[in-house]
Amino acid sequence: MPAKIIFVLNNKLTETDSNPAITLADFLRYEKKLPGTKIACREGDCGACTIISGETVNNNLVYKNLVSCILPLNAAHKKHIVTIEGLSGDNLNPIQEEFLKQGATQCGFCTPGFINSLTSFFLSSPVISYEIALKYVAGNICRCTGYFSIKRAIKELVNKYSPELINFDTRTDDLIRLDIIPGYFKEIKARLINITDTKSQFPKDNSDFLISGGTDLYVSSYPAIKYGNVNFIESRGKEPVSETDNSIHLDASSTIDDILTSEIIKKYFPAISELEIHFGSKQIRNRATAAGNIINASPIGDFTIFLLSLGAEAVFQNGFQKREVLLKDLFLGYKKLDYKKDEILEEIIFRKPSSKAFLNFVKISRREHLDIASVNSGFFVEIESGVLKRVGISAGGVAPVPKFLNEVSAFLEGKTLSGENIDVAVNLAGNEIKPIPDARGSDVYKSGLMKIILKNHFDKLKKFVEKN
Amino acid sequence: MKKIDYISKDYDRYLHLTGKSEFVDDMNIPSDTMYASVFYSSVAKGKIKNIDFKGADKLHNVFIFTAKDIPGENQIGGIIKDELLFAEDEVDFVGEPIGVLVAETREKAEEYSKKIEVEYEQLEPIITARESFLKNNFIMPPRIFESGDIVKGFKKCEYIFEDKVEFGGQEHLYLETQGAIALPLEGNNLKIISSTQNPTAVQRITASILGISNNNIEVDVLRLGGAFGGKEDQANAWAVIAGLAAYKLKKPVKLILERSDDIKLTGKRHPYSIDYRIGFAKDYKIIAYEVIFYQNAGAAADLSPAVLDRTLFHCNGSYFIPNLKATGYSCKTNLPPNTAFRGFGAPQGIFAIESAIFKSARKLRISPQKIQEINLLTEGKVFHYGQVAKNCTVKNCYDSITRKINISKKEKEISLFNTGNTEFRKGFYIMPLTFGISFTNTMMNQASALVNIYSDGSVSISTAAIEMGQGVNYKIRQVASEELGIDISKIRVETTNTSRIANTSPTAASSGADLNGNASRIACREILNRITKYYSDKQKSNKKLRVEFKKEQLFINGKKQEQHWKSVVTELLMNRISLSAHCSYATPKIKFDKIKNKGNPFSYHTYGAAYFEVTADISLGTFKLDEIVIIHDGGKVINKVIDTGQIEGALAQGIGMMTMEEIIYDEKGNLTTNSLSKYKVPDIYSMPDDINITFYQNNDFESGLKGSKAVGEPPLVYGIGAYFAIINAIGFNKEINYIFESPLTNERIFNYINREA
Repeated sequence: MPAKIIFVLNNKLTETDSNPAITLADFLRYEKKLPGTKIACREGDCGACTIISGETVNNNLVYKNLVSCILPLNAAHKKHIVTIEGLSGDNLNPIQEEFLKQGATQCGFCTPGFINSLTSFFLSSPVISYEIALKYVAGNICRCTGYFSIKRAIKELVNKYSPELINFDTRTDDLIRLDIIPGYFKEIKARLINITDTKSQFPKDNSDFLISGGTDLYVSSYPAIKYGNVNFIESRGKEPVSETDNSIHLDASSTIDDILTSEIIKKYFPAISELEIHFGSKQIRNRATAAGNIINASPIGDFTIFLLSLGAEAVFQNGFQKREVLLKDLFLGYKKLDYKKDEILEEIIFRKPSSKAFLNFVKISRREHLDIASVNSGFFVEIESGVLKRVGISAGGVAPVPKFLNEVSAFLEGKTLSGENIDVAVNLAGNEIKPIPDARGSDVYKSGLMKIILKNHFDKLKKFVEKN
Repeated sequence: MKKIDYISKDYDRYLHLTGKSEFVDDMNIPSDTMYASVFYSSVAKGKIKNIDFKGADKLHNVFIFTAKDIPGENQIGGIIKDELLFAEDEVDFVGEPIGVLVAETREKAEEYSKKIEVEYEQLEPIITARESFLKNNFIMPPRIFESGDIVKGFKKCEYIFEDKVEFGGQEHLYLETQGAIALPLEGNNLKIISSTQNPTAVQRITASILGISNNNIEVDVLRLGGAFGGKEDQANAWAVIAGLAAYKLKKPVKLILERSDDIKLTGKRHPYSIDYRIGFAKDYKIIAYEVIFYQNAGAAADLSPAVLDRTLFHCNGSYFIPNLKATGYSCKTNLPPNTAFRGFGAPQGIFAIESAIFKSARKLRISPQKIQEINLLTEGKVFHYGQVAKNCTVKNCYDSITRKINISKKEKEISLFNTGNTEFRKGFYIMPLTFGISFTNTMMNQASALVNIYSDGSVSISTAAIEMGQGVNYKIRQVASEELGIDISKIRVETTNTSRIANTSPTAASSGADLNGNASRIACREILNRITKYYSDKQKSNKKLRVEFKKEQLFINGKKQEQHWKSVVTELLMNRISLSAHCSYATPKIKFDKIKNKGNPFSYHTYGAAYFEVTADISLGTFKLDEIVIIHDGGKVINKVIDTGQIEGALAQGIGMMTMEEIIYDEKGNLTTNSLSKYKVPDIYSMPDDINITFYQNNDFESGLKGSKAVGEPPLVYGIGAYFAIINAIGFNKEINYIFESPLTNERIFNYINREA
């Protein structure tokens, strides 16, 4: 007997024994006959299928926007899943009305996704600002409007409602009062808590697919996934980021968004909120996990490249056995890892940066946001009296694996930031990389970019040194 | 209460915003509907040796149809009959349909059809237009447009420059993929619901494929989730295939292309390779321009001949050129047949002349604006195809931009910013716009509308127009509401249906609102005439009365009457006067001689100008759009929200076309950029936060729809300005030694910078 998936779909308690591996978008459209959720790309790249997912975390109801075309139905368990149908009554709500006024819907196919992403912004962002609102809709593609009218609508909405939405603790009530969400949201928390867990949490043996966020596997391996034997690793509800005296620990099952927006990360890497939007879209960051990004071993995984530069270590667990591997030693070849099938990536650990640490992350892609890099690179260094220490330089798109530039990093260790040293470093990097030409650029371009990016790292570091 | 009123006025958008609007895949279908999945060639050129269905043909309730199952003619070509629905012995592009597999569920249909293995004898494919040109492999004989005397012209020139230009293709990326539902009706009849811009083509081709008459087929279109030209001819095959399967099985059949297939199987904007030679007088007046276009048509004609013609019509850009010769070769290659895409050949022609001007300016060490200003079209100048420029406002718009921006001050500011700046460089460009409105095939410039007024006073309008986000239905309601003098909420625009409106032209060439809006106005006026006649007869007036409605109240000769709209409707019905009218409209005063290539092909031109300012990171090879200012002559704009939306959307698509949207085929004819993760269209961060659009006050314009101009395609051309603004930034004050190629991706920018260094 397959376990049931139980969740609140809009205002309705829903139970299903459908295959948990099918996508939520297909379930909503073809089983629940809720066609407001559109499918346009089936790879999480356009946001037309965006839904809102709510769950209780530490007794708080937390909402996020997700792309349902690459989301397993399994992920809906014990959640509040909101589709455009669940936000719409006989009248337009203020978001919808502003879109109408500004002409922010033309063919209409992307519209429900935009409305959902924006609603999710109002539900989950403590600060109501135009810039943050853009982050929430940056994963939504519109082919008709050129976004200008959508931006006008967002500006109007933010101007109008930010004074009303200052206190995050009363957000749900405020949004209901302002008609932005329907009244039934008030009861959702209690209803979710009441769902008894009937779903099996025990992993099956011999799984074909081990799925964490699934944001990559659902693109590369669907529909095979739905016919296969699947193990889902949903978040275990641990703190995404914790710190000890010397190190920072990332829970591997946590999402990229939870990690990047955590207070600890913000404290030690204040520049991260600028970098954040280079890691996929909000919808993807809300779902993709640290473990997934690492185990997927994509040569251009943004988050992995970031962690590599920090000299991070992966901790695997198998029963009571623990195994620690430096991230830079984990990747053996294209999608080949030093990792056994019965191991689970538990956490990622790296040393705390000193007060003199500098971090730079550069990503060059065809489109600046929500794109796969041509080349990306992380650069971490601690600088003491002009001497470079704990140097970590990583690069993606320049090798079959997410690459830690061993030789360059080792060379710079203990060196000063002289022009000569920089030249040697740039040359050394040229020997360490071997880019493969593909849709994201020729090998010549990627090699050229690598050099320029390294120089960019050093330029920024020089400025950082001058300032401090 | 006010809120509900708002919704009823704009019901279509209300439906979109609440997720209630239906697209083909959303519609309720009969429970016995079968699902179709197309299987297609995996090689770009070859002979089919064997098809292995992998047992699918023996499965219960699984059906396979190939060329031999077609009862009528296996042919879907429009302009030229050179395209099969299903390949017979040979295949000519990757993605060419070979057959269709039908099963009880979409999953099964997809699964089994993907397993089918076709064995080929592979032949050498042709990928580029130049290769095809060298092998004399053409869709049709070359087309030549000529004016003045090109040989004498060049002799008079002080400066002559020549070069090549490469223009890349573009994927439509309508968000709703291609799809159709075919429903068998009694007897031989079929109803097809299709996501098409051209229901009549679906009707005609389905009938001929099945060997039955057009009147056996009813095609119905509710709305499209974007099209941009990609559903003008390229929606046909899928609707016809669904029709064929439904006809054979006597069961409803649904066919929706998954994105991964849609992007692979359908044609795109045409890549062009271009050679040009341009000659100037000493004062930088263009004296002669000779240009050869090598259009990459793909494996069949599709709309390529018409697209090529529009390239030739627009090869002068916004400039007057007295001696011009333009030759167009439609080159047959082994790619999916390229097709209509917003702009329809014009961007390729305009990019070439703009490249010629920009490069010449650099060689002459003057600013491109200098050449532009001297040569811009003015009133009364004759286009190379013989039409006289009338109500020509391109220079007015251009000059307004120059003043608004204060170009000379701007040049100094930018020069100051750039000098010595090793990290960032700024650049700007002013892009003029001249775009001819009308189908260049004169016959297509006709439409009809059926207006029904019901006993409760509500109004239903059917036209040939397809609503795909461009707001044509709203504009039709708007003009009908003004014509009849009743509230817009009383008027509904119906689905586009070949049984209600026959022999429709596709909704294309920016002409949807002009043609169908005017037909609707005429039909409304016809009904008003009947009402007028009724009251004239009733009052036994010798003179014709002036009968009108204002806010639904009846006025006769300017005097307010007791009766209002609804009571008048009742009264007329009681007196057996028909309140239905079916009227047609044909664009006046257009004709074109396709042998001499002279005439008045266009009803009018849409003009405008756009200013672009960018900042380029000259080490990393990236750029950011800082500012866009547009002055656009939309005539007497009747709906600012809709027209602004069209300008903004076309602009973004044009910028995408010129910068990040890159189509790459490998040497075997496989599409490399075959998904949204590899083919990138502009996102919300790609566009600047603000845009400044002003409508040029043109009170003299009388054509179009109530003096408003067509707006769908023209503003796409503005996007070309982004290209030259970036070139201006990265190649600040330098001579340019590379060939202009579009799109200007970050990789190209990087290469250009490093070639310059």
